[in-house]
Amino acid sequence: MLLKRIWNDRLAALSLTIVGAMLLIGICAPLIAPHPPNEVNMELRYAGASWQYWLGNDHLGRCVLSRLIYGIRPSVLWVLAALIASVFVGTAVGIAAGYWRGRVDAVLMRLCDIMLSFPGYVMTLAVVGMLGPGLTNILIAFVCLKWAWFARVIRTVILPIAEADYVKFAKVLGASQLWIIVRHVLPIALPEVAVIASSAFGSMILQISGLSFLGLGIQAPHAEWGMMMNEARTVMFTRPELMLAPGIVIMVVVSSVNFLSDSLQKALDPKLMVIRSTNGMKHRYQRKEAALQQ
Amino acid sequence: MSLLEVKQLKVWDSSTEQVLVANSSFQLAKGHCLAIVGESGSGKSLTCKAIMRLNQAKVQQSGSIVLDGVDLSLLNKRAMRGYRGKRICMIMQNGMRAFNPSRPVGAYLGEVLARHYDWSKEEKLTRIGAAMTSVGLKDPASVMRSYPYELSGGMLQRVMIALSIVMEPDVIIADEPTTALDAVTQFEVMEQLAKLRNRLDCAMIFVSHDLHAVKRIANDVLVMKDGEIIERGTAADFFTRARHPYTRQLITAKQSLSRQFNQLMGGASVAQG
Amino acid sequence: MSLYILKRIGMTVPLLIVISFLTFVLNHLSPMEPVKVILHAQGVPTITEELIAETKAKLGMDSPLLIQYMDWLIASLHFDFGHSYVTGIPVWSMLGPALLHTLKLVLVSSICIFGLSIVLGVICAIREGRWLDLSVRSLSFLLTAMPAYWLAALLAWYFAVKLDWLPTSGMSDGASYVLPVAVLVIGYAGLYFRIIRSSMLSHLNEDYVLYERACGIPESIVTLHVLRNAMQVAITVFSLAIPTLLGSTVVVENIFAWPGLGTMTINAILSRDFPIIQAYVLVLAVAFVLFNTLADVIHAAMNPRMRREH
Repeated sequence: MLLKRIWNDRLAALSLTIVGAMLLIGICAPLIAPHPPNEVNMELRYAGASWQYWLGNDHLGRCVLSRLIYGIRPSVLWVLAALIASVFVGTAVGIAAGYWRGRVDAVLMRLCDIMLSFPGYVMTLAVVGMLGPGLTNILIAFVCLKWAWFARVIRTVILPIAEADYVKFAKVLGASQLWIIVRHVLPIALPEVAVIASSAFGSMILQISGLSFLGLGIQAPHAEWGMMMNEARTVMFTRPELMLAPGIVIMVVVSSVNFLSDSLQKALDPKLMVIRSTNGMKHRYQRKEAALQQ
Repeated sequence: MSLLEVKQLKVWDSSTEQVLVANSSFQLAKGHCLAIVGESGSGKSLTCKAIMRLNQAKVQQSGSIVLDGVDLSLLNKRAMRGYRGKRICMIMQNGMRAFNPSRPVGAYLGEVLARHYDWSKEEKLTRIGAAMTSVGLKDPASVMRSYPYELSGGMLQRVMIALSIVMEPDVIIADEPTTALDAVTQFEVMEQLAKLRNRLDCAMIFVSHDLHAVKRIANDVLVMKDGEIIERGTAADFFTRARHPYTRQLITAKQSLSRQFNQLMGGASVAQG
Repeated sequence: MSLYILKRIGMTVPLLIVISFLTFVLNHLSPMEPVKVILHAQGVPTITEELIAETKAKLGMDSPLLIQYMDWLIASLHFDFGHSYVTGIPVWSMLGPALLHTLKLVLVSSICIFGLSIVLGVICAIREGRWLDLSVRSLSFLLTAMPAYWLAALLAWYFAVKLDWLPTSGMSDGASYVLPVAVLVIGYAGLYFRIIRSSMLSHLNEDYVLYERACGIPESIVTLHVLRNAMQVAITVFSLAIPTLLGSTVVVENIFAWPGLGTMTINAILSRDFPIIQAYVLVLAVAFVLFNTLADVIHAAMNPRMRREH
């Protein structure tokens, strides 16, 4: 039903196809890439496009296309994995807060507040700074930072519903409350989680490639889009075309993800569109409104 | 001799080409009150806004709207602005939402008056103050100082009525002026509207789905459904000899409701309000 | 109102304490012991157990965590963030000038960002659905999806190398601001433009706008009134934009060799210079909390209801 509505919007369908294709290509990278991504071929340094190397070769004569394809793995797939992990952590915390309530709830939610009051980029830098550069550490930083969003959403959805009649009814029938939450309440929170997750996805892809570009992310010789641009940077002024391909790929993927997120939101709740684009602000603003009304 | 004459008014949504109000024509004589009745989405409000040319940009309109010999649909923006507020006054449905939340009521009224009259500050204050007292706002000075959220819906409704008293328009358009109010305030606001009509001797378009209110104030009635006028006639005819099945349905629904109410209240005469 | 401000400032104290503690503890999460890092940095060839214990005692690292935290906190309040592990220079003497440089960049960019997004937001809200609105929106959509460093590289290549109009890097005169500011504006204006636009739109559909028009108020004045109300949300968002920008200049500074916070921090991260990283996180977190408070106060001051009741 939801998928069908998104499919009906032509641009959204295109975005979905692009994102889907990216994921698929990334998973099947060894089958699709024409050359091994780390195969050095000094004779072909800075070679232009040819039939054998569609997008040319980089400063070590490596195939740019193959590196792009392998780059999907850290740039998109691992980011997705980190996102899913933070959804899981957030869900667990949210359920815990909604299930036990009381003091547990208060402590967990204050913790969320603190996490949310930190600027994301700075925290990522802090974690990477302490744990040292590397893809794994960035992913850990992402999970540490993003779970609070999901925890909050899940809890907000769970609390009123846990009181609702049909949950009480199920309780009378003898189902355990935890099971009720997992079975009946979680699906209700799913759409909003999907919206937040998808809008975070785009900025995470940008961030991870940015950090790799700065040399804080994945280490050479592994292929990653930000890393590829970092390598192209030394010859930025003489051979700007080397920066072109990874940049365009990032732009296409991120705008598809963002567009998908927008249409997902439109399909789910058109009214929310007004406050969109400012996840943080939305949360803050609502709290403020609530405070005003008291 | 009619004061306002609307001919072949058509309103449509230019983005979807959907016709919202189809070829409606009606007239309004000086001192008369025309009620437009119909369910929500029937095109009542769109018709009112079309008269003032206030529909959103994507909503377009054609047809002529002649007020006192001048076709409003041909006026330029500036001239049209001179008509709004001065010759045609609007009274909005929800007083609580009709005023800019971050400005005191008095500042707003002052600004509107300054648009249309070059009165001194004192003159503006006396006139508005007198009008406010006449609609039952006891302390005009404090009302003027208040922000909209500090006043009740009924009070703000009266502020709008007071403004139209000062403006002395030819036509007042009241778009469901009582819908958002509780029963007692509804009664009082209706009182004020009736008084206003007698006092200014202006014409009024009264949009409502409250047939009680219509019966009280209107001379003529239009019934709209899905953007079309399906029934028109005098108020007396409307309640006794409605032809269109939809109108009859409206009236019976209202009658059975009040009958039920009367029964519940033990047949007392409470329901006459 | 002043009571509200006092209350609001009072609320930040516990938050600041928690944040400073977290920042402090971060240091201890590192898989590598700080003492070893120091010794490495000082070029000590062989690190013995005694040497570690000795250095620990010298730096007060053998006392309990809480005591260390208190010492650190009190020192930090005096802008004493310790010495760099690598160079031995006091952290503040590096952080202070860097912060100033970054602040300059951020202030210039945020003024441009706010100006641009207000102008575009208002115009697009008034012309909702027309070609101008659509094209500005699609453009901003594309530009927000563009990696900042990529855009920076392209601009630098075109304007600094190909046309040779602007300097590629450094912070010498006014011209060197152009490219970094342009990159920041392009990257962030889209977000704030969208907030202004949607806030304007939601207000334009309010009844009070219809009533103002119905009373014959000219469109330009109605727009001003709407803008004033729409700004209530925007001001909050804007005041949070400044600390966010402070933390996001990293990439831009790196590309244009801007001697600011970002450049300093990246170098510190690469050489594991913990005191600098710690000070950076603390300064930005405090800035974030302060601007957050400021946002709330401004929001309250603009809202008549809050103004009256407090």
